Amino acid sequence: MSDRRLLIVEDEYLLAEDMRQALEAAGATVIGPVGTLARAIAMVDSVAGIDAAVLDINLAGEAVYPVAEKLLSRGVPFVFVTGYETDAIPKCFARVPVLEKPVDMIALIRMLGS
Amino acid sequence: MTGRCVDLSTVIGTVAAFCTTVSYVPQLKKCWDTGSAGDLSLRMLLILASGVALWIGYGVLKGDLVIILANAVSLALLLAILAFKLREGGRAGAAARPGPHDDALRRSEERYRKVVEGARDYAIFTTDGEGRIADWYEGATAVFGWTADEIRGRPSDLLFVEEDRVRGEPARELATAAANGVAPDVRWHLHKDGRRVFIEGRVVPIDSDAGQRGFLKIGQDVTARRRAERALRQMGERVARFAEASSDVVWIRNAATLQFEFASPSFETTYGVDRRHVFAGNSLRRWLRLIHPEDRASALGSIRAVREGRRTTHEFRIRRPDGTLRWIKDTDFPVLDDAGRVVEVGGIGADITDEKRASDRLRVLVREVQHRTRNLIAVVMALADSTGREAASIGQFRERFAARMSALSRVQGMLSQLGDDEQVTFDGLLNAELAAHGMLDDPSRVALAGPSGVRLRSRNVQTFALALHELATNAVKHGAFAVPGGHLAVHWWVEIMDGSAKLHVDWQETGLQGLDRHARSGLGRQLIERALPYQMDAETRYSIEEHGVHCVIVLSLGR
Repeated sequence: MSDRRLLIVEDEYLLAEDMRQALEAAGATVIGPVGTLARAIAMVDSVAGIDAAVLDINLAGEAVYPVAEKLLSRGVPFVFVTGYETDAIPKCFARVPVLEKPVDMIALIRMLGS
Repeated sequence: MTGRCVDLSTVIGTVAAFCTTVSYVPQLKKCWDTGSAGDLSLRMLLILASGVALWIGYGVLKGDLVIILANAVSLALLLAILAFKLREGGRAGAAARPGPHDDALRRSEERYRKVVEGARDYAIFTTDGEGRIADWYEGATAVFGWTADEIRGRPSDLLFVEEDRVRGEPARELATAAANGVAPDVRWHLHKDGRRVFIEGRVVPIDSDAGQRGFLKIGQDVTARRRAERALRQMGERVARFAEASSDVVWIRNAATLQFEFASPSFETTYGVDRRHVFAGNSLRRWLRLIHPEDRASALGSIRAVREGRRTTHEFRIRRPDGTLRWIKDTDFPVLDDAGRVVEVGGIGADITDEKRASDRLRVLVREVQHRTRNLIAVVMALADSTGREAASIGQFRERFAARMSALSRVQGMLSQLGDDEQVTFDGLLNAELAAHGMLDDPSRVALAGPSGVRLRSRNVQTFALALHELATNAVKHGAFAVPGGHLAVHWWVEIMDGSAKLHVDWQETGLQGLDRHARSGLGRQLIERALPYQMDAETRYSIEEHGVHCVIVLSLGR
């Protein structure tokens, strides 16, 4: 995944850092990470060439779904990360893969690399 | 007739005479035993007697002794039978229906006797005109305990209870029966052993044997039924009191029309409307109007299902006149008649709004706990990772990792002890961290100045606590508290700008000499310089000045 540009949206700094390091170690270029909904939307709107994204569903109390909708409409693949039960995810994202916290980095890299 | 050899005609005549004569004997014996000539015809007897008498005359004229003797005996026997017949005819002379009808009457009387004697559940007895007991049948013995021999001839008053006797009820009852042809006898009576039995019966006047007026009393012992009915009535009253007292709505509907037939008072507190308002007019429609439009169909469907004989439990929302929404849980059941048809629909409705809120809240809390736990584990893993990267040895890793886990554990403890509207305060957090590192032990080395009770947003507390932990650890290991004479001053204040509050924290260590300004950039610095801005929108500055570390954190407190 050496040429892939990956967006990380995760509100917990330590977890975002963890993912960043893991993905960079796998050769990806990380965009972000960003920890709030507003920054994530701004990032998606302003940065071109995002190949894939990992989205934490709960961003300091706000749901990440508006970002997910933007990515979906642009055909950018992404992965949800959540500490909640996955049954609360809206039906329109039923086909989006979900990783539960704590995130298995190997699984994350495999998903974003394909 | 003379001569040795008996004439053949004499032999035949003698045998014939014997047979015809003897033939009357059984008939006469029967008449003797029964005292009646039965159904023999008087005319036939008279003609037969005349004929036999003529035979005697014939025998005299002929000089035939056998004929004379035989017919004389027969005539005597016939006359005896005739005497019975004539006596009977005189006595029954007035009887309109002699003969076979007498027998039918006897059979009928026999049947009545058997009925009366066999009716053991009915007390049947007769009295004379003064109320003295005459006939006393088995059923009366079963109900009152007295045998016929014990009670015959005694006044029937003794079957009345004391208070009725005092009031003169026995005489009044007989007087009523005599005047009206019947008197009801529905009251408590007295058993021989003193207990009371409730009799439902009547008294009618009859003609007694002696042709005098008497009374017939027929009654049924309904004590057991009456007790059962009373118990049932009392149970009904008790259940009604439960319904009245219940905070749940107890209601009954007509199964055919589904209209309310009853609703307990709590209907009014639950639905917030007067029951009379709902009961006036079509109570089903008025009730449905109280239900949230989305829930009306299912509520009605549930009640209709009960009409089919099923039990149902359903939940629906109602809107009270004051606009508040309440959740009701109804448990409905069919009320059947003896034939198993559903005649009523019964139900118990409970206001479960509070329970529902509590369970909703619990569901949110459980989700939140799970979320936080998973996040916390992820943070622990990230801390382990970071600590592993900066540690020079496994011993150092263990020491630093344990210290960071302690900090995490302290802040989790503070968060978990909060009430609903409480928040962790900055001074609380600072004091806990400094105390954990022993930095408050010598008051001369530390100066804390700032308002107490500055509340931090809960989602920021954990990262903030970890940052303070790193500052304190650094101070103890490499900073002001690592050398004698070192000093720490922490000042904080709240500034309101553009309607939003900001907390300024100034951490100033002094007392050190010749510090390396480009010292380590470990996790502590990373948390302050990167994590706080990233996660809390904080502005931070971390600098190693000439005499010690100086750290400034400006943190938004929100509204």
